[in-house]
Order: sequence, then C-alpha cells, then structure tokens
Amino acid sequence: MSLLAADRVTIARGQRVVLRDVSLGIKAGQVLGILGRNGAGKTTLLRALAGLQSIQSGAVTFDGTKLTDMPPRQRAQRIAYLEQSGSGAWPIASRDLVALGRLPHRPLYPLGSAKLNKQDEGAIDRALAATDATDFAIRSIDALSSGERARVLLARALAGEPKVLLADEPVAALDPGHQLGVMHMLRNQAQAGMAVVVVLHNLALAARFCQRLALLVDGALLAIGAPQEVLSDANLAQGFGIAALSGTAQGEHYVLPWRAL
Amino acid sequence: MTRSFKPVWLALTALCLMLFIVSLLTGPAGLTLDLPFAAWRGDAAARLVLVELRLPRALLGLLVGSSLGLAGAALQGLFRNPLAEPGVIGVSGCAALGAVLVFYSGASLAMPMALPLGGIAGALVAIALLQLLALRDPRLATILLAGVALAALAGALTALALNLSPNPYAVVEIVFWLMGSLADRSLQHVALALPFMAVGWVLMLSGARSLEALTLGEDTAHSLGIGLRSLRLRVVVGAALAVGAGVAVSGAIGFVGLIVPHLLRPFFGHRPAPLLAASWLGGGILTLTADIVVRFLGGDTELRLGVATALVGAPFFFWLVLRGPRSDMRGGT
Repeated sequence: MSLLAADRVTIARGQRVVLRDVSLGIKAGQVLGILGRNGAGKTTLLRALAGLQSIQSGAVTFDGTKLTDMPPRQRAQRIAYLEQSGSGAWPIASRDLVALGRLPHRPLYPLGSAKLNKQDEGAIDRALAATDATDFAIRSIDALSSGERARVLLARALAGEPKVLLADEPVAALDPGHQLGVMHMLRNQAQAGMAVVVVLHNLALAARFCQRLALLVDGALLAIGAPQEVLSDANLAQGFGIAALSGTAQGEHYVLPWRAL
Repeated sequence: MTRSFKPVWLALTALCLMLFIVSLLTGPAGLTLDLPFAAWRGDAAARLVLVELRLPRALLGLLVGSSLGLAGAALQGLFRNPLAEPGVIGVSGCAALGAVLVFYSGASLAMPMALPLGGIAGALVAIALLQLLALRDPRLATILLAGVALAALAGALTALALNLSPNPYAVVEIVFWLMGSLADRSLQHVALALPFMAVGWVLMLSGARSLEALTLGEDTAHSLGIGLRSLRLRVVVGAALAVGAGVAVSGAIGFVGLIVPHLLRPFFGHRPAPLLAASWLGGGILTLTADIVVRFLGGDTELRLGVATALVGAPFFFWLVLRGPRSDMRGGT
C-alpha cells in the first residue's frame, strides 16, 4: 500500500496542460526519483504531491486521505517539502533555520514563552546530525558554502520528522562530493522508514540511489519502475533525446549520458 | 540561535520609559524639570501644560512611533524585503490623501475629528485596492510594486488638491500638516487613534510565527502548514489600521518603519518573530527621541518631526540601496 499516491492527476495552467493524468505511488522506505527534461512538469508534480498545487482533476492521497481533506498543519507534520534552490530571506543562524522545520508541531500563536521544548530540541539535533551539519549550526546561513547550506536546508526538512520527504533538485549546484553526500543522506532516511521523492537531473545518481524512477515527458508519465527498466535506450531517446552508456559496477547500475540524438 | 533576548528587551523597555518621561519634561524651550512638582502642588497652569500639551504629545510619539516601527517590521517580513515600509506600499500616502481631502472640503473646520477619520478611510481604501489585486495575483512582488504605484498616485492626487485649492490658507495648512508633527494634539486625538492602532497591533503580532516560516519562501511556508492568505490579510490590514490612524493624527512621519527594524535586526539574530515586538518598542523610542530633538533645536519655527525623520531617513534608505545586494537584502521574491 502506497503511503503517498497520485491518482490520475491533471494540472493546467491557463490553457496549457502541464501535467496529464499522472498516477504513481510511494511506499515507506523507498526513494523515488522523478526525471524529465526542463519543463516536463517535475516541479509541478512534486508541488502537487506536497499539496501546494491546485489540481484540475484526480487526487493526491496520504494514507488513503485526500490532501485537500487534511488540515494544513496535519499535512505539514507528515509531508516535508524541500524547495528547489531554496534559501533564507534573512541571515539567521543555521540552527534557527532548522528549527523552522518544527513549526507544524508548535503552537501558531504562542502566548508567553516562545522557547523550543525538549522534543523540538531533540528533533533539531537529530536532523543536524543526520545531515552532518552540527558543526556549523551556530553560523549564519550566509556564512555557509552552497554545500553546507544544502545540508542545513535538508536538515530543516528532516526536523519536522515527516513520513514523506519531497525534495526538488537537492543536489543542483553542488560539487560531486556533496552530491553523493546528499544522496547518501536521502537513502539513509529512506532506510530508516521515510518515503523519499526526489527530482533529479543527474541520471547517474538517479540510477544508483533510487529504487524506483518516474520519467515525465511533456507532463505525462512515460515510464515508472526500476531504474534499469526506466532508463532504457528507447526511454532515454524519447525522454531526453540522448543516448547513454550504461553498465554495472560494484554491483550497482550506472548510466552515463553520452551524446545528444 | 535560540538564545535569550532578555537583556535587549529590558534595555528597550527602560529606554522607552525614560524617553517618555523626558518627552513629558521637554518644552519648546528645553527641559522643565520643575513642571511635575508644580502640577503636583496644584499649579493649574502647570497641570494644564502637562496634561493638555505634553501628555498627548508624548503619548502620540509613543503610539505613532510604535505603529510605524511594528508595521515596518511586519511588512518587511511579509515581503521578505528590508526596503518595505508603510510609506512604500502606499498606505501612508493614501492616509495622507484622505486627510487632505477632508481639509480641502472644509469639513475639518466644522468637525475636527473628520480629519483622522479621513486618514483612516484613505488607508482602508489603499488596503482594499491591494487586497483586490492580491485576489487576482497573490505574488508579493506584484503587491509591493502596486503599492509603489499607489503611493505615487496618492502623491499626485494630493498635489492636485493643493494645485486646485482656491483657498491659500487651506494650502498652507495642508502643507504644514503633511510635514508631520506631534505638536498641539489633544488627548482626543489619542483616544480616536488608539483603538484602531491596538487592533492593528494585535493583527500584526498574531502573524509572528507565520512570518518566521516565510523566511524560507512562500512555497516552503505553505508546506509548513502556514495559511498565506490569512497571514497576508492580517499583516496588510493590521499595518493599514495602525499606520492610517497614526498618519491621520500626526501627518506623514516617514522612514521610522524602515530604520527601526534594520537597527534592531542584528540584536535578534535576524529573526522576524522577535523583531515585531522589538520594533514596536523601537519605533516608540525613535519617534520620541526625534520629537525631543526637534524641540531642543528650538528656534522661531519648530522643525517639523516628519521633516526631521525624512532628513535622516532618506539618506539611510540610499545607504541601504547602495550597500548593494548583501545577505540581508536578498529577499523580495
């Protein structure tokens, strides 16, 4: 049984249909990668899964309940959304930024003390530890490198201890070392029982770190399934207009984009 | 970090109280330390000066300043932009226009309280227009730009009213009023403005946690369960009520809402939530200080408070812009 599921979701922006009849499900413990060209509808799909997007037809359900029927705070406690190239508007300390992830668990109108309780503090500490960001927790997010900031933003999403994590291109703009680091962290979260959905452009990372992949073409689902099936020559040609080299190394599947068709 | 801000709160509160007392003791000719004692001993003239002249002035300095400071902090949090200010989104301009129209019609001669009501009406029109726009296009950047256009329109219509005025006396009166001042106000002014301000304060302060979430952008705030429509409504209506009532009784006092949050932000780890209440106190502190300084400067013609804040505030605004796209200037998307 899928924890989070999209059922025949169609989304239009004005006259243009940006997502057409997309159905997919994510189980706890899995990493699902969403692939597709620029403009294929990946971010729209992720926003729909997060309940941030109004849907023309179809529905997104969490554990059988439609997101639109869930109180926003209840939804926020279960589903975390990591925005693409997100940042903070103000140069607050990293730990303060991570603490924002606890907002769905805290009263919205605090009278009296605005202090975090023990449970909040514990969740924040665990999130910082999981993303290896404890060392720069007291530094302002402005004083961090992009790799460090990406980890702090991920920690913010984890601090709410959600059941589902939706991450939009969390490794864009990171060097290869940090890309691998973040993907490892996502895989660890899935192994700990979280359902993780991640939008990716890097096929090599998608092939290695995701149990399942969904490939979007012009807003429609071209293929969904295990990486080796989805990243077939025919799908890569139709989905990206490329040919790729692929193989197995150290027991893991890899795909290397080789040339444009 | 979630450290304690207690010393900063204590310092701000103490400073605010001290300045309130200094304001009560400050006359057109500097400090008058014996005034309270004279009033205490039953000197009717001293009591009149203290209660009818000084007290309204000090109270309005505190209330108008607090409203401007809080509104500045709340709007900057909402727009994620340190340049947002009640003046910038057209609320002050429309409030001034509303009050000018009351002047122009002569209604203020028949009924003095028509003036503040005109100011509040102007501010409410400004919000209604911004809200109508927000229903069509909810992006904050659009609302901010529309506010800038609205401010320009209010300025043009105010100039038109002056241009067409058949009565030179009214023109002089309007121009002086537009400069902003706390002199010659009564407790009636305080009583009229305070209820609107108080409602505005509560609305803005209720958005503290939500504004904190907005640090991460609108999508992320939404994903954290924050109702953006409700937040926007509370902050914009709250700012309009507080600022509209303030402008109506004191004229245009600019830049308080810009300067105060900026100065206080580093003391609160740049977090939007504690900054709200701090800017509420800070606005009172800055306005009381400025109003004391203009009285000390003295001279035959007292420097208008609005002129003084603009002379300091406008170069400050320039400095903020020229300093370039630094970290805390990044917002506004």
